[in-house]
Amino acid sequence: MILERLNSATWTKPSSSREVISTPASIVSGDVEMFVSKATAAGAQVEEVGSLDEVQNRLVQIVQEEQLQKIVITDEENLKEIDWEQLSQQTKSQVQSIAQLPGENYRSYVVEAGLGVTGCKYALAETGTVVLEHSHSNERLVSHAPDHYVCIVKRDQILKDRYVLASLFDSGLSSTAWTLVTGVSRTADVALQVVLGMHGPRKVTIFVVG
Amino acid sequence: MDLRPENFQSVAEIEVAKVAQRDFVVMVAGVFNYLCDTAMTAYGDGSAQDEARAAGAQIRTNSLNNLAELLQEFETNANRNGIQVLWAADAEEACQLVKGLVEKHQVKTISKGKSMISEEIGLNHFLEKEAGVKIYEGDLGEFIVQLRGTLPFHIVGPAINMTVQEIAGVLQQHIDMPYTEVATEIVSYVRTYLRDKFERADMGITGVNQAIASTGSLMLVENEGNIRWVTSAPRVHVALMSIEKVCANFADAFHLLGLLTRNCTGQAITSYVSVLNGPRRAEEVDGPEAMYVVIIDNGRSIAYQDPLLKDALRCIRCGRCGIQCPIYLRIGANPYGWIYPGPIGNVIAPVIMDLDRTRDLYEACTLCGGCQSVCPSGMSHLDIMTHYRQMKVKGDDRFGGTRICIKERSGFKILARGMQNPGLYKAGVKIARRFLNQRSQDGYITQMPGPMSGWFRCRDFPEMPEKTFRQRWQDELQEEARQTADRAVAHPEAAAQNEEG
Repeated sequence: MILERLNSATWTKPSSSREVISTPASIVSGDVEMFVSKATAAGAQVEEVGSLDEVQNRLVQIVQEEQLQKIVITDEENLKEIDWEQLSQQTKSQVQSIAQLPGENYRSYVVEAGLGVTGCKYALAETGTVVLEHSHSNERLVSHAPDHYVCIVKRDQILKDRYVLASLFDSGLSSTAWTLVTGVSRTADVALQVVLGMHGPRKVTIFVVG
Repeated sequence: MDLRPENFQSVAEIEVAKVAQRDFVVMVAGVFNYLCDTAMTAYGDGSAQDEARAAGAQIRTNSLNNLAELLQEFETNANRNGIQVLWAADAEEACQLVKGLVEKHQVKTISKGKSMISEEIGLNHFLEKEAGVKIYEGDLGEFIVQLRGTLPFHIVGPAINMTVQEIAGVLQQHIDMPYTEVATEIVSYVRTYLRDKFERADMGITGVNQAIASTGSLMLVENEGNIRWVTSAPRVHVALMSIEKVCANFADAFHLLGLLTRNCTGQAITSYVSVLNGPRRAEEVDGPEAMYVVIIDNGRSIAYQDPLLKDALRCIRCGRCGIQCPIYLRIGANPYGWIYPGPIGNVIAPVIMDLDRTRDLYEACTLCGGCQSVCPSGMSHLDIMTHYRQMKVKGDDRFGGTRICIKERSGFKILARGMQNPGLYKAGVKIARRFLNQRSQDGYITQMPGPMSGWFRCRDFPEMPEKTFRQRWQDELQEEARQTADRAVAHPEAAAQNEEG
């Protein structure tokens, strides 16, 4: 009925029914420096490091400084290069990969975890955004439920801007969900005062590796 | 106050007197206009910004020109992804469909992401009453107005008109928050309170910013993170979208996203953009087991028949028009009596309600064009609102517009006739002057009996001068001729030289 009514509109439609939009040329040139600058402006703490070993060392410091008890990590390839067992022993914290958590235990663990660590599929220099492809290897709440979220980005994952990402998405999506995360969860609903950490992580740290 | 569009005038009289609220809203609008203007400079100079807006307008034109085709394509691809697509002709059917899903999945509690379409169809009230479920709004502003039981003040900042003290009072009263005026403490308390609801909710309900036809995906935009919870934790996700929220592909969707966020909160992008392609797979834990999209018409397909009114469906809900509107900034949201205040309410409400009920909305517009000048989707607010006025005068069966009464029609006919005939016009002015000036006090006419009383209720009219412009012009010419003649008599040689020169 609804479609019939839409189809019955008598006004003249243009002959080119699916004209391709020419979106404006890329707004900003993308590079690591820009990514760092934009992500920082959005409220993330961004650190450029040479290797995953350095990431591990920094994570140890973070866990000790914040006295974190529980850490949840995704089951992504680049995270497997970090020695989580060693980190756990050094910090006396519990580290669980979502691959080791049975479904019934996953949710309670992830909401109790103080730190969630993931990799990413892409990043966007234009806005300082990390692009997460969710699957059983990167469950959605690992990057959202803990108070502190750490994302590990490789330099070659940084794309220029959203239009590049759009062309990748338009060529096909196989995962059930993607999230573009830019900085920290925020609200200005209380008399226009910007407060970070509304429903998502209160703190976001991004390590740019390479 | 009974907040309905029919009560626009009486509520506006109350609201316009709230000076503190008005000053605050004007200040907020100034801040957001600055943020949005600054964010738009990312596209480049003024002409580059115009190009970006023009591209956005073209995307919306394409979507509307191919609406049925895109919706069908979206449905096909969404089904392929495992999303069930349901169609609702009106608010009642949409509510019944969601109620059916609540019963089917034995839902007790619902968490919600901010969704204007759910407000439009009155879903919360319906489900709580008819299905006995408990609903928690996840967006802080929406949560506050839900507890308070009022309309959202702005489509982006529902509680932006409330002071910290008012917000603290509402939260103290309804969810036992220890009274505090510190924003971080308020946010922290609500975060903890709602997180428990997010974790336990059986069903999540959201709106949709864009449905992408080519992949059957949904794009949802937010800053707080409530939508991520609502689409990740519950067993069932129901996304509500009106028929116009579809675009061809991600290239279109991402361009509109940039325009939306820059004109909404002045951000290049919001904290979170979720792209959802279907329910969770067997090996996944987060995400819903079942996912539904309810596509809601609610009067829009009738507007779509009209070549001009279909443009009312261009809106991408950035809310920028509101903070440009001199009327909205002075009277706030309440007089509009519905969930879409300001210019977008003036444009959308007559389509969904009717021309008679919403008459004061589209007639209160001054046609200054502020809204139209910043609209990133190319909407012609002024054409649409003047079209509504024409429809109202002539009467319109489709949108419930009652033709104006025979007295008013006759009056306008006489006026039109008089203005086309100089003789009649002059005679009419003479009569009108005598009639109007009888009621003048201190040079102004402030009230008038009979059918003109409404017009003078909120306007003063300067008394009509004794002479019309044409008479004064004639007098000026005669005076000039007389002075020239006098000079010729007094200085005949100079006058002769002038004539020779």
